[in-house]
Amino acid sequence: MNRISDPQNDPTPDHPKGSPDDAVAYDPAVRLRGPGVGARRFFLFGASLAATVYAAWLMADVLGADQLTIMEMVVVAFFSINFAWISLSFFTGIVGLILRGLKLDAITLKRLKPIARKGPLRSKNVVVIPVYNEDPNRVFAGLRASYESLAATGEIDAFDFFVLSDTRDPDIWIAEEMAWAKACTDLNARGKIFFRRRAENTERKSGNLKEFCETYAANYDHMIVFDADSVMSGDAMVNMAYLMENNPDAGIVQSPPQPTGRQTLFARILQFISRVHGPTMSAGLSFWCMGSSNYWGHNAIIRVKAFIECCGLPVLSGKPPMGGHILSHDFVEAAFMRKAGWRCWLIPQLEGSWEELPPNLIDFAIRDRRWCQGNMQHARLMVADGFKPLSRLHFFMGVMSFASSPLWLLLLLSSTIATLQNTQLTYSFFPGHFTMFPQWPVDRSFEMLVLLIFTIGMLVLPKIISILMVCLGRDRKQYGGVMVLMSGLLETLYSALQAPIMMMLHAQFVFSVLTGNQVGWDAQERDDAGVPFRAALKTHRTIIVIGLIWGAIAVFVDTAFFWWLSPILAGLVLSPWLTHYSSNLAIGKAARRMKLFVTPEEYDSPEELRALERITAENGGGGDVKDGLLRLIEDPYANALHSALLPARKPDARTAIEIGIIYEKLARLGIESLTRDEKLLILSWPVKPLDQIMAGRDASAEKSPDVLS
Amino acid sequence: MTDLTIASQGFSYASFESAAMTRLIEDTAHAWLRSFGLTNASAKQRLVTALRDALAQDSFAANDRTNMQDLLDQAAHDTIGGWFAQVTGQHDCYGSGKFSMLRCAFLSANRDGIWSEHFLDQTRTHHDLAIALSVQMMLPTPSLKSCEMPRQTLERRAS
Repeated sequence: MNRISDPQNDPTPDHPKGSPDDAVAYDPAVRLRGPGVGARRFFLFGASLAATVYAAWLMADVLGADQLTIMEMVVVAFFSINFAWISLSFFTGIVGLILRGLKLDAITLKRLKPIARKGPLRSKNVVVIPVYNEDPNRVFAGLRASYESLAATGEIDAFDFFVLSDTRDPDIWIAEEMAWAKACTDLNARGKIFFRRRAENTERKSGNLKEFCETYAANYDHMIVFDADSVMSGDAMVNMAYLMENNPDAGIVQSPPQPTGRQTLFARILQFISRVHGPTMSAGLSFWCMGSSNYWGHNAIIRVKAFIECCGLPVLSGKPPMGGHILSHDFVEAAFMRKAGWRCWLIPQLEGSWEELPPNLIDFAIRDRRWCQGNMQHARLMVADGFKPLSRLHFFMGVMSFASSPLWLLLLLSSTIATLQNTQLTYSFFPGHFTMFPQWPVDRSFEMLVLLIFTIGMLVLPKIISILMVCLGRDRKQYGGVMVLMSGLLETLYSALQAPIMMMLHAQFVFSVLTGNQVGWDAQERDDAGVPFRAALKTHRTIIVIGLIWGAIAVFVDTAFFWWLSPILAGLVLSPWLTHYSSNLAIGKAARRMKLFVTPEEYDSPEELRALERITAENGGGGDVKDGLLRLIEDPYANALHSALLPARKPDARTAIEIGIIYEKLARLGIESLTRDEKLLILSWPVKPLDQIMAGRDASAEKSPDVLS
Repeated sequence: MTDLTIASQGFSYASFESAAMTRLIEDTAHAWLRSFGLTNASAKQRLVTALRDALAQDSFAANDRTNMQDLLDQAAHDTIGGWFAQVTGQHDCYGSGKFSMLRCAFLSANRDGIWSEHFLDQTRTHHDLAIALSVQMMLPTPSLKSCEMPRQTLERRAS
């Protein structure tokens, strides 16, 4: 263990038995270590604390010029908590900007240079893709693009691919099997690309991975976890494996995934700002997190042995949503890795790591609702025994990414109440008795302006500097040339309008979770789906009403206060229009033509993304998910493949009777008569009766063969 | 009169086969051939013969359609499994998983029908077909390597 890299007194973790790091000289050029970890954190947290204290003092000074009421104290308290949150983000961004500006490696603080591998990989790696009711065409297009890119590096022998299906939709299930077989055939990758489906999807994604770990993962040294929409370049995957080989104490190496591929205005705006400002934040995070970085659940490589030994997730006491199985497993897995002494690294310069975003604000919010439920569970883990302080901070940050919204809302509401109270008060020039000197009202408008600029500056300054850096950089053409400034300006305007909407939605989500409401588990929307205006209006109607009432109260209280609140009120009232128009594909494409929100991948697409586009086009843009059962009946190959992929077992007597009844129903009433669960049941067992139906041999089928079609 | 007595009296099974039985055998053969994507007449004749042979060698209640069906299906499965064993030189071709994999491989290899004539033909050498099957064999998962992933607790330090 390298003491320079982390001052915390970690136990050195055991290295995987038989792994290449037992008796091999490590490449010093890629050793993950750097100077001054304690100093980095002292600077970052110290600066954040100092800025928060200053801002809190300024706020107390502004509000308490005359006298600080209880409600104003509440305002100061909420403001301080929220300010600490944005302050940490601000200084992370500032550090990231400095590192990017000086082209320094965030970990070693040396000149940034690409990873130069010395020799081929020695480890055996697997790319795992857990899927749940996802579009098989998109999943396998991503897999194939990544596979082709990996093959081009010459390191394909060091990798296998594994699709871990938890799919419950019978049609998607069969389509996945067919897509797997096609990928194996087309890529000549039999024995390289594997497929398995879980019969029971307990514990969702983490359970899916757990089951894989307990069955096949021990064949490998490392696993790269993909999301259903992930694509990675071969170089990125090989570099990650190389980093793991040469850093035997690394448990997780996380690449910063860049969003790409969506064309709606909403997604394009997010893709643009993630591409411009994301590397800044990644560099800043990596700078102070060092070996205690977080794991984001995908586009990361994991040491299999370490993961198996220390990342079996506990079940939280109590009922969901705050108890039960852990939903947002990634943070927790990283925390357990750290607890056992393994290091988790975020490597900002790992390029070629891609993901996709939800296409519109509604789907974005739906994803956030799911994440909110998982992240709120982390509030319980923050105080659990044995975790490292930085792991607790990651939990806190996860909680605050949602809990900050109700806190901002409470801050704004308490400000409104405080202003209302102040308007009801009659100013007393002689608050004390027996004095000859009046107490004049103090004008704090200058301090208020300073505080406003200070707060807004903390929020947007790193982002603005990131945009300026791109604009002044040599590769600005890849971001649309000088239009990058216009893109940045419009993004700032858009995010300002969107922020209050997300604040209201997140506040609603947090309230919903805390009052015991749960959400289900659905696949994310991965097409460029638009939101009709009526749907947007229906979704946001409560927000609009709140905005209008709040605005009316503000006007009643104080016109100046109304204008103070107007950016927030505008976001709330305009929410359906914002959601509807930002989801519009035509507007997104028009923006592209105007060189707005352009990312380098659109200017000069990397090979793996070109492959993804090509394969998606070859698949005809999806639509290959047919009726799975009908497919098995009609297509002998699909039938044989499905039989081959089923586990070898026999149904018990009760199940056999149930299956018999369903086949009877199928023969008499046709496929349309079967429910999803009925289809799932008969597809879960050997399909010999389907052969009988195919042959028209079954008496019922003989009578009415057309009912099956 | 059972098949056993027929056989012991020296009559051939086929001469005593009822029309219903013929239909059942034909349909069974047709279903199995269709599941291999085959319509080849020679292949069908070989399977029908194999099914008749299997029936002739067994005794069962002739009016029990369900039993007969099971017997015929089992006979077809065994016949094809045996042929796969001969082709591939492997003995574990009868299990449902391996059998289905071989069915997949045969369907892939025989997309243009070049191996249809070979189906169930015991007299040919099948070296090229064996290679074609091995090329097309799917492997859904690597070897199983079971281990336990212990649940961590929130009360103690991880080991």
